[in-house]
Amino acid sequence: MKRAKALLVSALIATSALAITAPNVAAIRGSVWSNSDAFTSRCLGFTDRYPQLMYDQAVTGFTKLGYVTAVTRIGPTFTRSAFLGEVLIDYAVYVHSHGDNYWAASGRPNVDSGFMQDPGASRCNASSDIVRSSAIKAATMGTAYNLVIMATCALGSSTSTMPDAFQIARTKTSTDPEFYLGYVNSTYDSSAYRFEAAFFSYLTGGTPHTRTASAAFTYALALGGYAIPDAGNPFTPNWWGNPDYDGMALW
Amino acid sequence: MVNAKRLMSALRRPTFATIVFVLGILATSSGIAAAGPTGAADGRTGDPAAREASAIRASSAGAVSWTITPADAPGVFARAAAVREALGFPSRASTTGRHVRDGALATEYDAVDDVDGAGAPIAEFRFASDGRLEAAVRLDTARVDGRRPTASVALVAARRGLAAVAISPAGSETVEADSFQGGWQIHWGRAQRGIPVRGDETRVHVRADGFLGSVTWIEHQLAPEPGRRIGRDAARGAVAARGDAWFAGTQSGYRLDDASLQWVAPNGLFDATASLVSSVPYRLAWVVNVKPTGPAALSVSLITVFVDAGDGSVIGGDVVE
Repeated sequence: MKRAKALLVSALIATSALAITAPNVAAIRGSVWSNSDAFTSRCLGFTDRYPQLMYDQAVTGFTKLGYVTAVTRIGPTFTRSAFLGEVLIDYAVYVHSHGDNYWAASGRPNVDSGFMQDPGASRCNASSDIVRSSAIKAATMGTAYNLVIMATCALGSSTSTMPDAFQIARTKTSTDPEFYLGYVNSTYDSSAYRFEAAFFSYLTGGTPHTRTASAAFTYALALGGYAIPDAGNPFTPNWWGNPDYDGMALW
Repeated sequence: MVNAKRLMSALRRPTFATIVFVLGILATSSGIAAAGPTGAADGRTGDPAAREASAIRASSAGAVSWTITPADAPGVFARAAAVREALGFPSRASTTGRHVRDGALATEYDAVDDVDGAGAPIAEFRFASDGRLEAAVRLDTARVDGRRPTASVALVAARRGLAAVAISPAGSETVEADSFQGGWQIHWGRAQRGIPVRGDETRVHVRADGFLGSVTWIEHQLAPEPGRRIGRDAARGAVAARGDAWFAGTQSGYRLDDASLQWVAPNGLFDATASLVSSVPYRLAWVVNVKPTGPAALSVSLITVFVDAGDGSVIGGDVVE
């Protein structure tokens, strides 16, 4: 490992003179994670293709926003240990999976939100697959994140502890360059896919730095037409962060 | 620009990020290059004129768009001007237009974007290919100082706005406080002879400052109603057959909810050879919810199945993960 790091350092220094004249010297990483195996015919009886579609859409969106999507994992490589091992380096994070506001180990009423890792190719999700916000909080070590999208159910609700795992306060008046997007209720895949398509389309369109993530949210929500599971679960995406932040990779 | 928070963050991250960060600072401070992380990630030049000069470009996965101007699409810009005035949207410094063909979402539309003097978007008007207004969205920030509209005031504003753009929703409305954006959401669900059209709606957002934030009119074409309908029990039976097959030999099971009639968009959720999103007319269907039990419920809370009300075939559905 030390040798690998030394090689990496040498390589970076050796190439810096050349690379320094190129754009994107300061690569800012955004990672995209999608649980797909839990939604295959082996676990569901049919294969839900939305995890792949939403993954592709997020990778494209992050790339257009200037993030280097070096870590994009769909399927068995989306494990808890991989996520927790990689997240510290990220500035943007996208997760598509099942999510919920689970009870904390300390018991009710304390919440420890989480999402399911991919179960792998030989089994389906079990409760032991939850990646909890407390573990993410420890892994992120108090560092800042620009753009966090939880394409899951429930992690945009007021009880969600997930924003804090990325040091994003549940306020809409932050002045730091940060934006957290999640869904409050149970949400159809088709609605989340359509909403995120509009969100990324708006945010990555136009002249760079003239559009904000909060306006992209307003735009996507205003387009309407989102199907809902029932009256108790209206389509309710939510955001926290800085209303003026443009979502782009930023030092 | 490097701020202290980012510096601290970078220094607390592992070696690779720190090295890259320091190299970035060196590049910037030495005045060499470093176009910045947003400069050319997707081959864009960062130059607005150069970007707009590209007549056709991919705007998102599966979507292409090209610039339209008042010269080649006068009707689109005229409609946008009329809607802008009718809804009381703010005046703009300049306006651009584009035609979008989005294969992933099976939609095609014209969009007119208003921007302010700083180049920031302040409104978008979106029209279907037949010229019908689909959405008008105001994108500047509501400045709230003191009084906010009541629900009744918001409803009057919404009705007035819809009338101004010649949209007249049928049925009764729901008025809900928008606790996330502020203001009020006023919504009319579409129904055809009493049967809901899934997702179709007229919606108005009245902002916290009392101005109209958005007007949305989603209305899909409907196929002819089938001459004969299968019954509710037959529809549930068709779904039960699917459920039995899905969970056979597993530790999971399922529970069926009641069935309801709706107009739905056929899709290929259960047919890997068909598109997940289609633009064909909506069909009348029995909509049946399947709630997984056992291990499957840990990752999927609901599977919705559309059963054609005429021939009993499964024509699509949706999933809540």
